[in-house]
Amino acid sequence: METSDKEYAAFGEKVKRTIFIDNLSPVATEAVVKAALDQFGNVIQVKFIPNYLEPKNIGQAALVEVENADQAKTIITELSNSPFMICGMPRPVRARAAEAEMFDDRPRKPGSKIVCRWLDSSDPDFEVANKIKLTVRKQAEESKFLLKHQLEEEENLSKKQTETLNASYKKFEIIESVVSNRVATRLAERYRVRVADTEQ
Amino acid sequence: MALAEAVKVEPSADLENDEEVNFVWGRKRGIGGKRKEVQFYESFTYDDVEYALYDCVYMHKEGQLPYIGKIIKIWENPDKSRKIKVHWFFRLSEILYHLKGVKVAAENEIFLASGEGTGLANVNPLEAIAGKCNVVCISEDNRNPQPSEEEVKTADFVFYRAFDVGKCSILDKMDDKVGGLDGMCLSSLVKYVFNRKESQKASHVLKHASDQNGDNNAVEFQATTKESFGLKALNDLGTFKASHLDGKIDVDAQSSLVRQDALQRETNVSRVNKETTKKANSASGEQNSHDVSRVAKAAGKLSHIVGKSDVNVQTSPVRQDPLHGDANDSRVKQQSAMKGNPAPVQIVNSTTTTVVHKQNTISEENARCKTKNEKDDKKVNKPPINLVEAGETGKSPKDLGVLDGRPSNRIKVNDSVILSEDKGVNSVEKSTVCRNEKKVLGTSAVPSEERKKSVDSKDSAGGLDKNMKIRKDSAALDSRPSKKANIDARKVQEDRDKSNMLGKRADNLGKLPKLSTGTSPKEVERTEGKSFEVTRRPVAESSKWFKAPPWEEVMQTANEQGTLILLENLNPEYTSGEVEDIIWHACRENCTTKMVQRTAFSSPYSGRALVAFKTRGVAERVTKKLADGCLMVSNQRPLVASFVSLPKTEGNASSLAGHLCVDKLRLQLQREMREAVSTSHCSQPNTIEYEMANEWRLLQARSDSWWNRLYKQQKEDLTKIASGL
Repeated sequence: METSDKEYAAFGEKVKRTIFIDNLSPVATEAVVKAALDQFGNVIQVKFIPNYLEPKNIGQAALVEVENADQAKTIITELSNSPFMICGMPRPVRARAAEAEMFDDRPRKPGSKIVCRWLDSSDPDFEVANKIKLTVRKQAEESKFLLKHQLEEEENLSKKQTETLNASYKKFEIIESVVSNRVATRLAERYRVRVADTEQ
Repeated sequence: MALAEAVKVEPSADLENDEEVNFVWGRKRGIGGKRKEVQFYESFTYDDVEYALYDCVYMHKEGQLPYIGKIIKIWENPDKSRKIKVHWFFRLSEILYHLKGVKVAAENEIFLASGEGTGLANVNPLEAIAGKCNVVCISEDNRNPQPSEEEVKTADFVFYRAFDVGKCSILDKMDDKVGGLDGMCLSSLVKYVFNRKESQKASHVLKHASDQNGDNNAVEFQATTKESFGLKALNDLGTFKASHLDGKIDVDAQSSLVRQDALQRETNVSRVNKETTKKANSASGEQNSHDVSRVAKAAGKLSHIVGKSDVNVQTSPVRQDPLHGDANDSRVKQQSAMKGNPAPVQIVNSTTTTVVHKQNTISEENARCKTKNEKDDKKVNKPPINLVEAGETGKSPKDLGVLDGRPSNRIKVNDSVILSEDKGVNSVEKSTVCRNEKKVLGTSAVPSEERKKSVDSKDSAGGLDKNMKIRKDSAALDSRPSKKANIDARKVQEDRDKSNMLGKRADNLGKLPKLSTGTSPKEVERTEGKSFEVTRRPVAESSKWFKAPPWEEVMQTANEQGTLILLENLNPEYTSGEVEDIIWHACRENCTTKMVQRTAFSSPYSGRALVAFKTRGVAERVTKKLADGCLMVSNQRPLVASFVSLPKTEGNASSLAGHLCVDKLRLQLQREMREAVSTSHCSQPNTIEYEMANEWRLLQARSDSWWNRLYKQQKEDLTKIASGL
């Protein structure tokens, strides 16, 4: 199927008005994402990007197609300015402009020609080609490692925040209980300190 | 009372010391004040740096990047306190919000404050100066002496626009009344805003080249840091200018050296900056590094990794001017990619850089980056060697496996190639040998046990035979295209019959037009070393109506049967269909392919695809072929093929790291969650949630920067190697 230039241009338009969102919770569904982003504009379609090769806990990614490119830009800037959360907090989702290679149903580039050739050891480029192959493999390993590292960092941050959160919650609980059982007011009277009393 | 006096006494005591040590007044300018008690000056020398009226300087700011301002008045009060009036410039990061949709001229563009309101200019004690700043005006106004390219490149900052502090908007034109300052007339503008004539500036530029380069590095990076804290800056914008008040800045603070207590990330920056700008001129590199290392030690682990990463980037030495340009370029690129790096432990020269390294815990990724950057680093200092060693030992378990495999890979490849010259006599033996050795390659996804099974060795040998035969034939038949076409056609026919049962019609394939065998002659000769064009592969007539199962199923079956291959180093622009065509043309095998879609951390230049074959034998054959020989796609990319098994799903993750829940409320929440359709919202500032969210954004931004740097480095490596083609 040769894609006509027109088809390809249409696809390009689609890319422009699509947003790539990641750091999504695994429990988020298309409906959820659509509802979340409908605040900003007209969401046409939400498609998740399947993750076959990477570890499972990196969060989902989705391609969200909205009505036009301007809406897409607005959403991206909004999401970059203030943290937006879907299905969980406080980790915000991240939005960026979509790229053609993110789509799995993309048409072929019209006019793209693929030329291949086999090399054998007598070919002068063979050595270099092999070196390239090995480097590619090595780099894939490096990427894997970096991803692992990233995930570890995220876990660490998450743990740290959980602790902080629980501590804060305890504090608030104490404050609340003290206020509600009037201990605070009694103490205030004792020490002749003013207490802002919202109940009265 | 006594206390207040005591406090007051101290500064002047310090002042006296300063006077003796590193402060000298320059030319007098006039007397002023109510009782003619104030002495104005045109210049002064502070800390061995000469400052003159209308020079641009950095001003200390506690816990933040230094401010940039232009000295517009210098005087000494009767109580011997020295003051300067500073007209402010805004950094990009300081007015990020107002820059929406505005095109920025450069990474280091700043804006002259103008209009009326707070934040235009302030009086400050002279001791708040943190160093000189090279700001070049690139306005095309004809009153402005145009700077040379060199000057623009080496400038710390450039500006040509103003920011109105009252209206909070960008002004493109340099008004005559910039800042509404006392009696600003045209000549003042020329003197004040635009670049000054060469003679005045040249000496400054030369003399403080190294100093400014250091500041340049320091400040540029800080600029990006600030950008990441753009959100915070928004909130602070209202307040920070207010703090530019007289005497707020602690004299002691500036003249003292690095503080020892544990610091936040931002304070790290300012401390180091103070340190470096103060000491930059003195060639006491030792002292520099020593103090800086103390600072670095105090920082947390998180900032270590990033700090080191940033520092890594900066290892290209600053002092050597020829390199400076490069350093700038690479940094600029990375800055545009980086969204934010806290605690870029800003260091002027690479000695301090490396000492920081030494002090910090070493992380592998960093070590790797470091060793990579080492290629660029002309100055090899002692500490990096330690790092490299540590980095290498860290790397070794992982890489050694791969490394070991390499030499044997080479040998094996040679063998198999020689093999093809024979008429396939020893093909069977060699192929098994090759297969055994292949497991040494150490690709993580390869289950070596499976490889050992010489499945279908006959088949593969047969395949090899056929290929060779065809090659031989076609070599002989070079000038007889028709016969070649027949051979090809015959092979096509055979293969098609064989692969009739392949449910290879994925959805996108269904649209492929039927090509008759007559199109195959379009192919260029498929001999060793000759290239061929990949066109649409022929589609079996009978399979037209055969509905292909969805990719997921195909993939899962292939995964179970061990017929799933991962292809790497593809052009990421290829579609799944194109990859299938490539496989078809190269190996005469049909397959179902899915290009792995790009995500936030996919390699931008090495595309990957999952290929599912029908039988194990076919899969092995193709893999072997691609591994032994080199299939160069589009003359630059040898395909890398390997078996892969999908990572097992340990149950579906029920939540993402970072989605927190207060334990006590957990039960309650779950009930609510089930009922709520969506609980999405924008976080509001002044909540704990907001702060935590910002921490996550920071981490996200940092991750982005890691990936960008990694891929950039990888790309460089590859292009370097590829240039040998």
